[in-house]
Amino acid sequence: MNGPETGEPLTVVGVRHHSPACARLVRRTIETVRPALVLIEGPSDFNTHLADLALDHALPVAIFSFRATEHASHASYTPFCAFSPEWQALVSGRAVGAETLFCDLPAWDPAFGQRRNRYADPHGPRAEAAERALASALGAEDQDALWDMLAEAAPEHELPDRLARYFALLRPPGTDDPAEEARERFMGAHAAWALRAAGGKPVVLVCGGWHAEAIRRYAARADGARPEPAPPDQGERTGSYVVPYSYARLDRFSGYSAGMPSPGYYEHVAAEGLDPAADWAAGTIATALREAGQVVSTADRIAWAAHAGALARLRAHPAILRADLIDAALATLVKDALDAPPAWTASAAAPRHAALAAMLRALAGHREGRLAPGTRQPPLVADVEERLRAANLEPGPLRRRVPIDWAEPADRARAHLLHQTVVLGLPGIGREEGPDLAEPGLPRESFAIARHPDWPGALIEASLWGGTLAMAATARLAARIEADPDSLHVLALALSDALFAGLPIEGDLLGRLSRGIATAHAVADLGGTGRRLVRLHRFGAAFGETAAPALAQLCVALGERALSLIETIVDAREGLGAIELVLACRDLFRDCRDTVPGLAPLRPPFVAMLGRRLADPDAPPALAGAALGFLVACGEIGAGPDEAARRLRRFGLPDTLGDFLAGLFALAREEVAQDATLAAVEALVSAWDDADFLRALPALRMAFAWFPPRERERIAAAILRRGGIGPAQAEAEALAWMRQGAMPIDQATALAQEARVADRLARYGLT
Amino acid sequence: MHLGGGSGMAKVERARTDGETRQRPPAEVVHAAELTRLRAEDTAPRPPGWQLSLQGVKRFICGDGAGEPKVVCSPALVERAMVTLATSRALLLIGEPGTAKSLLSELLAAAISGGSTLTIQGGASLTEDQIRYGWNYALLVAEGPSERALVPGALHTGMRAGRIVRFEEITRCPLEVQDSLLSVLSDRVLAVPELTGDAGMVYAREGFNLIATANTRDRGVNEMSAALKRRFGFETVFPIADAAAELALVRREATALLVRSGVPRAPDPEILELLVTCFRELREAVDHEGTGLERLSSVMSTAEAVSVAHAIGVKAHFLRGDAGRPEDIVACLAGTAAKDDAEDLARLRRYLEQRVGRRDGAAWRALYAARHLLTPQ
Repeated sequence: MNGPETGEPLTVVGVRHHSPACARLVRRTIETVRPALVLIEGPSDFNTHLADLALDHALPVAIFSFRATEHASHASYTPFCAFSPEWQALVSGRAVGAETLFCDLPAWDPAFGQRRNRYADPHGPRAEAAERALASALGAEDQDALWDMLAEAAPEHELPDRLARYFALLRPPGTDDPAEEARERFMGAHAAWALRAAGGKPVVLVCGGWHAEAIRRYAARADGARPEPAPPDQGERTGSYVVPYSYARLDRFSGYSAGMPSPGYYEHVAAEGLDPAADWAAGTIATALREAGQVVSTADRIAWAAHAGALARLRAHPAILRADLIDAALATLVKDALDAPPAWTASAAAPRHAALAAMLRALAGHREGRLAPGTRQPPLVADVEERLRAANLEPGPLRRRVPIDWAEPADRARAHLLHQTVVLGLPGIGREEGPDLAEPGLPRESFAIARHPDWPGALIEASLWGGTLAMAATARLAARIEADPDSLHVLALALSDALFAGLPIEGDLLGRLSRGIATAHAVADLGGTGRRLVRLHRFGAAFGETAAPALAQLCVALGERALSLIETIVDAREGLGAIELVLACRDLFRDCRDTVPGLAPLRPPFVAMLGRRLADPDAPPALAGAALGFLVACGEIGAGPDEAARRLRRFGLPDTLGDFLAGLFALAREEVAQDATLAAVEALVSAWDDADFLRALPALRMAFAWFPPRERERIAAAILRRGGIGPAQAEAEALAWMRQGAMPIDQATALAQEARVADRLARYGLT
Repeated sequence: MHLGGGSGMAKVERARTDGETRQRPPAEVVHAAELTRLRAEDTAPRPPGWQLSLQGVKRFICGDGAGEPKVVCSPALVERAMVTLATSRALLLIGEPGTAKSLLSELLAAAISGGSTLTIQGGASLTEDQIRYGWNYALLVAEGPSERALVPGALHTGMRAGRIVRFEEITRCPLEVQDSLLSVLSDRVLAVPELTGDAGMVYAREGFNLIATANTRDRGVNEMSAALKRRFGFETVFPIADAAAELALVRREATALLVRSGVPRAPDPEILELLVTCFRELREAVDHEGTGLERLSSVMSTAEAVSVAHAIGVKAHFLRGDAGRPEDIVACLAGTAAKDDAEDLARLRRYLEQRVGRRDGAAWRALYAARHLLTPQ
C-alpha cells in the first residue's frame, strides 16, 4: 500500500479476495484517508446500477455479467460476501461520503477473456514456485496456511508491509503480465482520471494484490481522461445483474478457483476474531462428524483441542489457525490410513477421505444469499414470471402436479410454456410423465411444479440466453446443438424438445438431421433416432402445420438409410443394435403409410431386403429374428405356429436362440408369442445340457424382457402346466417365479458352481 | 541417511557390536554430532523427559541450515507426529511398504530419547513376555521371583527409563499381544504381579511413549481393536510426491550404499532417472502422458528403487566395469516386480512393450530393446 504515509493522493490497496484481514485494512484505510473517490476492481459497466448493490441484500451476492451472440454465450461472476475487501470498500466508501465506482473492464471486453470468476487468482508458474518456496521457508504446508500465518494472524500495524512484500515476491515490481495488462491499464487510467476529478483530494483504489504495483505504474503514465470501455460487438447481447450467491459456491472445493476457502470459518474470523472462530469451527466440525455417524467423544475433543493448541505454539502462531485445527483433527479424530495425501488446498482434488470431506464442508458453512425486494432484474425474469402467472403455472410453496392433454387446444400453450422452462433448465419445474415411445394418438404429460430456493438466481442467470422465455429456450437449444453438432442423438433430442416447446425449428437443424441420417453408420444410434422421429411424426397435428411435412421427409430419409444399412450388417453385436432400427421401420411402414408421402415405393424393396436377410445363413440371429418379426407384424408372411417353429429350429443352438428370439419378440411379440411357439422354444431348450443352458441364459433373459411381467407370468404358468402340474398349482408357482428374492444371475452362478462340484466329485469317484 | 525396511531386533543386535564393523549403525550413532549440537543450541522449552524441544526435533528431522533433511515428507506430518507424542498419545505410522516409516520412527526416537534401539519387532510369533518382561529361568528356579531374575523387555525398560519405545509392524501381531498394550498406554503403568513391593508396579517416567508402524498391505491381517486405536494418533506416510526429490534421494542413498560395497563410481544419472521414472509410473499407475496403466500388486517403493540402483551399480562395476546400462533395469525389474505375483510380470511386459516403446530418447529406446530380458530364467 502507498498513499497516506507518503502523502501521495492515490492510495492503492492490494488485497487477497475474500480475506477478512484485507477487508479490515480497506475499511481502516478509507476511514483514515477519507477519500473523495473509491475505485474498486469490478465491472465498470455496472457503475450506472450501483444503487442495486446498496439495497439491503442478504449476503453473499454476486454481480452476474453475460455476453451472448447467436452461437456462443459466456457468463462471469464478481462475488461478494460480508468480509470481502471489495464489499467493505463499497460500504465504507459510502459511509465516508466518497463516490464509489468500479474501475475494471466490463466482462464483454475481449481482453477480459473467458474468466468465469473476476476474482480468480492470476498466478503463473513463477508465482506458484515463489509461493511454495516462501511456504516451505516459513514452515507452512500450503498457500492457505501461508496466507493465514502471514496476513490473517498479522498484527494490524504490520499488515500493509507484509502484504507489500508478499505480493512483490509473487510478482516482482516492474514486471508486466500480458494476460492482465489490458485490465491493469484500464484500472490505472481510471485512477489517473479519478485523481484529476478529485482535484487534489485523496483517492483509494482497491484491487487484487497481483495488480496493485502495475496499476500504480500505469496510473502515473495515463493522461487523466476517463477511460471508456469499448462497446460490445454488434449483435452481442450483454448485461450485468445482481444474483444471490452461496458459501457453497464460494468455497473453492466445489470448483471455485479464487480467494479463500471455507467462507463459513472466515466469516467468524471477520466478525469475532481468530480464537472464537476456532471454537466455532471445532464445534461445527464435531457436529458434522457426529451427524455423519462418526464417534467424536469428549475425550477426543480434549485431545483435539490440546493437539491444536500445541501445533499453534510449535508453529509460533499467535492463535489457533485453520491449518492447526484441521491438522489436529486429522491426527486425533481420523483412525484410518488415508488413501491419498491430505490436502486443504484448491490445487489438489477434494479430499477422498469421508471424514476430511465432511470437515471441509462444515467449514464452508451454509449461508445462502437473498436479494432485497426491488432489485433490478433482467427482462427475462419478468417475462417468465408474467407468462407463468397468466397460465396459472406459478411455482408455489407446495409441490403440485399439472396434467397436460395435447388434445385440448388450451393445454398446448401451457405445454409449450412448461417445456420451454424445462429446456432452459430452471429448477423446480420438471416433466414427470409423458410418452417416450411411439404410441398412437396425442401425448398426455404431467409436470411437477414447486418453488425452488435457487429459482430467483437461476432465472437471472438464464437471462444470458435471451430476454424472453422463447428466445432464451431457442438459444439454449442452439447451444446444445453447437456443442455436439454431429451427434444424431443430440440433434433428434433437440428437435423433439423444440417441437414440444413450440419453438421455431431452424432450417439448419432439419438439414443436419437429414444429412446425419443419410450418412449414419452406427446402427444403434440410427435406431434410437429413428424411433424418436417416427414417434414425433405419429403425434401428427400436435406440433402444427409446418412440422408434419418436415417430419415426414425425415421419416423417408430414415427408411432409405435403413434399407441400405441393414443389408450390410454381419456382426452379431450390430445385429442386436439393429433391433431398434427395425422397430422404427415397422412403426413407419405399418402405421404411417398414409401420412408419409413417398413411403409407398420404399416398402417392396424393404420387404424383399428383409426376406433376403432372413434366408441369409450369415445374418446375425438377432437381425434374422427382427426380420421375421417385421414380416409377420406387417402381414407379409403368415404367423402360423408351424412357420415360426420351423424357423426356430434353424436358430435353435444355445449361442443363437436367445438373440433370434430377442429380435422376433421385439418386433412381433403379440403376433407370434402363442403357446405353440413357446412350446417349440421349450422343446429346444429342454434338449440342452446344463452348460448349454447357462451359456444361453443371458440372451434368453434379454429376449423375454420384451414381455411385460404379467405376460411372463402367463408363460411361466403355461410351461408348468405342460410339465404336468395342475392349473392352480401352476399359477401359484408361476407367481413365485416372478417374485424371486435371489437374482436369477446369482442362481445361474450357483448352478454353474454346483455343476463344477459334481463334476469334480465324479472325477475322483466320490459320487 | 537411510531408508527404512523393518528390522527391529536385528538392529538392536547390530547396535551392540563394535562401531567400526557395524553394517548399519543406529540413527543416534550416525548423527551423534548433530544431536549434540542441536541439544546445545536448543533453548525452546522441552516437554518433560525429552532431550530436545519440538522445534529441535523438527530441525533434526526436516533439516535446518546446518543439518540436512533426513526424510522426505511433509513438515506438517512431522509436527503432528511430535505433538501426538508430546500430548501422551502413542503414535502409529501407517503406509505402504518402503515409505520410510521405520526410518521416521527411528529418527523421532533418537531425537526425543537419544536412543532408537528399544525396538519390538512385530510378527505372528511375538509373545507378551517379549514385550513386557520375561524371566531368567535358572535364577527364577534358584531364587524365586526377584528383580535379579527378571529380564526386562523393551516396554519395561522404556517405561522405567522414560524413553521412546518403537513397535515395528504392530498389525502383524496377534490381537491378544496388541491388547497387552492397552493398560500401559492408558494408565502408564505395568504390573509385575510376581514381585512384591515397589518393584511390583512399574510406573512410566516422563518421556516414555510408543511409536508403532503398520503396513497398509497388511490391513486386515490383524486389525487393531477400537480400544487400542483410540489410544493412538494415526499418521499416514505417503510415497514421495515430488519426482525431483525422489530422484535426489535415490541418488544419494544409492551412492552411499555403493561406496560401502566398494564401488567407487556414482550411479549413472541417466540410468537413475530412467529407473525412478519407471518406478513412479508403475507405482502411480499413470504414464508420462497421464494415461492410466495397470496397477502392479508388488510395491514399487523408493526403498526398492534404491536397492535396485545399488544392485545395478554393483553388477555393472564388478562384472563389466561400467556404471550400468538400461538393460540392467529390465533384469532387476523382473526380480522386483514379480516378487508376489506372476501376473505382475505380464503387466510389466505390457508396460515395456506398449508404453516404453513409444517414448523418445536413447535410454528409453535401449530399455525397450532390452524387454526380452524380462522373461524369467
